[in-house]
Amino acid sequence: DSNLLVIILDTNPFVWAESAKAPHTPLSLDDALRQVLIFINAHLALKYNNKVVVIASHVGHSKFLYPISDDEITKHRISGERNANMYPNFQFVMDQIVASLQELLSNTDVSFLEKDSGTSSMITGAFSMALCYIHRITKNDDLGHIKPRIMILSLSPDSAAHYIPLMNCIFSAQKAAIPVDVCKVYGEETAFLQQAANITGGIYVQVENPQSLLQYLMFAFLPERYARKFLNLPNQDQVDFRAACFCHKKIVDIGYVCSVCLSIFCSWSPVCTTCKTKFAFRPMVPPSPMRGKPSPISK
Amino acid sequence: MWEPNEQLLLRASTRYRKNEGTLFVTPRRVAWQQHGNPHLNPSLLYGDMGTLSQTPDTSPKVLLKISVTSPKPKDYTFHFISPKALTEREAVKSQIAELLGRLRGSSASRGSTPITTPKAAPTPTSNLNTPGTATAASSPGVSTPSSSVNSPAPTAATSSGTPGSPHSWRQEEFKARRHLLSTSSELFTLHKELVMQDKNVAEEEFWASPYVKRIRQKLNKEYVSKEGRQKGKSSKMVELMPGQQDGSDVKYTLTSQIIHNIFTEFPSVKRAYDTNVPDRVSEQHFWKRFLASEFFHRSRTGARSQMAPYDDIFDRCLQEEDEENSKAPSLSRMDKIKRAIDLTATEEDHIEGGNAPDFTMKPGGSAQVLPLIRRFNRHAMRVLETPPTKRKDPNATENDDMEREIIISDLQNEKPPEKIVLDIEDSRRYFESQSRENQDISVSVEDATHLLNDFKEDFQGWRPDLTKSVMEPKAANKACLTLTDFIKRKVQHDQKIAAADTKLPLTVQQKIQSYHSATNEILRHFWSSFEPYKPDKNLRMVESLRKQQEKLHGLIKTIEDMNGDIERTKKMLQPVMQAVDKALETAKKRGKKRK
Repeated sequence: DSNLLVIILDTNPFVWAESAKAPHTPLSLDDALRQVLIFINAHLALKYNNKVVVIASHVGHSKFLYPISDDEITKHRISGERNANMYPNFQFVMDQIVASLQELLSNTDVSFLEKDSGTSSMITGAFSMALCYIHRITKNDDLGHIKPRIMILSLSPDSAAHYIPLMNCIFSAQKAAIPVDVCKVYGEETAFLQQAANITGGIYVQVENPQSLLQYLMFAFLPERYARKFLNLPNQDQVDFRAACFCHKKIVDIGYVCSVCLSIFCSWSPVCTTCKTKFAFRPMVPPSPMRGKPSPISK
Repeated sequence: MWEPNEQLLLRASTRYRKNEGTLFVTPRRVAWQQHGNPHLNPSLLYGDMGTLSQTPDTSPKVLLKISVTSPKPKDYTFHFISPKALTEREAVKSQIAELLGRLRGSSASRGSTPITTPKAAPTPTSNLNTPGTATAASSPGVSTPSSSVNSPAPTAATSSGTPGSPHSWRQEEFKARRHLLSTSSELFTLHKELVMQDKNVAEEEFWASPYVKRIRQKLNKEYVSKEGRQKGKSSKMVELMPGQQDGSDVKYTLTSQIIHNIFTEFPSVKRAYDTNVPDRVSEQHFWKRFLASEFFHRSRTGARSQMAPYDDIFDRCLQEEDEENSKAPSLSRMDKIKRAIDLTATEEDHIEGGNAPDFTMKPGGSAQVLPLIRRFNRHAMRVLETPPTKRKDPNATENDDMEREIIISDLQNEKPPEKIVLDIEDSRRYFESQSRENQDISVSVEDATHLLNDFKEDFQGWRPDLTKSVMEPKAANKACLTLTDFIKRKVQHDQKIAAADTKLPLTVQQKIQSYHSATNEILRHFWSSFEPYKPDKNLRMVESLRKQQEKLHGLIKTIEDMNGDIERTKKMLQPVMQAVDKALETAKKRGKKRK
C-alpha cells in the first residue's frame, strides 16, 4: 500500500514575519522549511512507494510546490547536481520544493492587497487543489493501493469569507474518507480547522514550542493511516462547537434565534440584523429553564 | 296533502298555538291539521325530530313538545284537549318514540331517544358487552344517523345486529382495542398502569389521547379506528332458504335485515305491508301468509302450481309483479346524455367504422326468459342506485363539470412554489461569528512591498543544510513529554467514560421505563385539561400526580433490592420529577388564584 501525503504549507509572508519576531520562540520560514523537509524525507523513507505532494498556500493564491510539471523544471533551471551523500530521491524532492518556493516568493507583488481577501492565506484554495489531485490519482490507480491523507501546517487565522468553501472542502474530504491533520504552528486556535480534523478523523495539534516543530511532526503526523488504528496519537478532542452571538461574538448557551435566517443573538431586538425581518411583538420574559424563540411575522 | 298509502296510526284532538285541530301520527311523519283548514301544517318528519318532552302527569295542562333540529331548531307544543287527554298523549308519545327509534335503527327496548319529563329522567340503557366502558360514549354511536337505514325496519324477530349500524361499529372498535392490547406490550403496560391499577384515566380518555393514537397508527394501520366508515349494501338477491325441516313443519328465520332486503327487492310487498299491518293483519300473520303464498314459491315459468291457496294480499303482489315484468323498462330520456359518455359526439371521427348501434343486441329475444332477465335488471338497478349528488357550487356550469371529469391533476404542471427570498445583506458577517475578532493583518502597501522584497532576498540563494542539527535535545524531549502527557490524559478520560457506561440490569430498566411513560401520560392529560380548564379531570390528574410521586419511593426501594444503581436512576428520572413538581405548583397557584 502506498501512502500519499499531501502537505499544505502556509507561506503567508506577513504571518511568517510575525512568527519570526515572536518573543519566546521565534520561528522563521527557513527554519521551519528545514524541519518540514526532514519530515518529508522521513515519510518517504518509511516505505519505498510512499509519495508526497506539497502545496503552498500563499496570499491570494496557492501553488503546487512538488510535484511540478517538466516545463517548469526546465524553466526554473533546477540544477541536477548530485550530492553523493544524499539519497537521490530526497535530493530530487528537496530541489524542486526549494526552487518552486523561491519562484513563488520572487513573483509575489502587492496586487493581492486590492482583492477582497486582503492578507489572508488561501487555505481553501490549497485544500481544493489537494482534493482534486487526490481524486485524480485515485482514479488512475487501478490496483486501489493508494491511501491518501492531507496535512495542513497552518499559521494564519480563519478567514470568515472562506467559510462556505472551506466547509464544502471539509465535507468532501469526509465523504472521501481522507483524514485531514492540522498542525497549528503559530497563532490562535482556529475553529474551522479544528472542526475539519474532527469530522474527517484527523489529528489537531497545537505546537507550544515552534522551535521543536520537527519533534511534533515526527511524533504525531508521521504514522500512516493503517498504523493509526493501533496507536494513541495526541489529539485535541474538545472541539468548540458552541455558537457565538452575532452582535458581540461572545459565546452563548441560551439565546434568541431568528426563525428566518437562523442567526443567533444574545438579546432580543425588534429587527434581525442579517435578514431584516421585523418582529412586531413584545418579547416574552424568558423564564430561566425555557428557551425563548420568537417567530417573526413574515414579510 | 297526504302521501299515497300513508297510513294513519293515531289521531288526537289538540290545540296548537291556540287553534283547535287534530294531530295525526303516521309512519312517515307527525302532522297537525287545523279544523276547517285542509293543509297539514306543521308537518314534522321523524328524521328532523330531536327530543320529546311533556308536562308531568299532575299538571292541569296536558302538553307535548316536539323539538325539531332541522331545517331550523324549533319547538312545537301541542295541547291535548279531549277528555281522555292523558291516555291520548301517552299513546301519541309512545308511538312517536317507537317510530323514532325504528328510524334510528335501534330496538325500541333501548329507548335511546331521550324523552325528558320534569320528574322522571330515563337514562338510555346500553347493552354493550365489553369491559368497563363509559356509557356516555355510546351516544356518538347512536346519533350517527338514519342514513344507515333508509326505511323504518321493524324489529320483528331476533337481534338488532344490522351491519353498518352504530352498534356493530362499536363491536369492531372493541375488538380492535383488545387486539392492540394483546399485541403491543408498550400499550398494554401503559393501559394497565393508567386505567386498571390506579383508575387515573378513564378508558375513553386513554384511547382518545393523541399519543395513543399515534402508537396505534404505527402499529397497525388496519386497526386504526373505523369510526364513521360503514359498509355498503350487499348486492346479493334475497335468498330465503328454509332453516330447518321437521317433517311437514318448515322453519324460516326472518331477521330485520332480511325483512329490509325483501322490502327493497319487492316494493309490492312493502306496499302490502304498509297498508295491512297492523290494522288488518298482525305482523306474524302477515309473514306467515307471505311464506305460504304463491308469490314466494312461484317457479320461474310463471305457471301456477295447483297446491297454492288463494291469498288476496299476495295475489295482488303477484299481479303487480307480473305486470311490471311484462312491461319493458321505461327508457330514460335520450336527449340529456352526459357529454363524457355520449358516443354520437365523436361520430365524425368514426365515419368509416361507424358508430351505429350494435344490431346483434336486441332485447327481448326469448320471451320465456324475459321476465327473469327484467327482474335481474331491476335488482341491479336498485343495488346501484345512488341518490343524486347535490351540486356543491350552484354556479358551476356544465363545462366545469366536464373539466372536473377530464382533467387529471397529476398531469398538470406544478405551480412553482411561492417563496419569500431570504435577503441577507452582509453575508460575510453571517460567518464571522464562527471566527474570532477581526484578525486580518492590516498592512500598508509600502510595508508589504518592503516585506516581500526581504523575503525574496532571503530565499534567493538559499540552500537548506539538512545536516546541521535542528534543535536542542532538551527542547525535543520537552515536546515529547508534553505530547505523551496529552495522550495519557486522553486515554484515561476515555476509559473513565467507558466504565461509566455500563447499563442497568434489564428489569430495572423496564421498571423505570414504564414508570416514566405512565408519568408522562398523566402529565399530558393534566396539561390538556389545564387550558381550557376541565375541573374534575384536572383535579383527578393532580391526585394521580401526587400518587406518582409517592410511587417513586417505592420504585427506588425495589431497585435497591435488585442492587441497581440508585444514583443513576434518580438522575434518569430527574427531568420527569421536575416536570411533575412544576405541574403541581401551577395547579396550586391556580387554586390560590381562584380563591
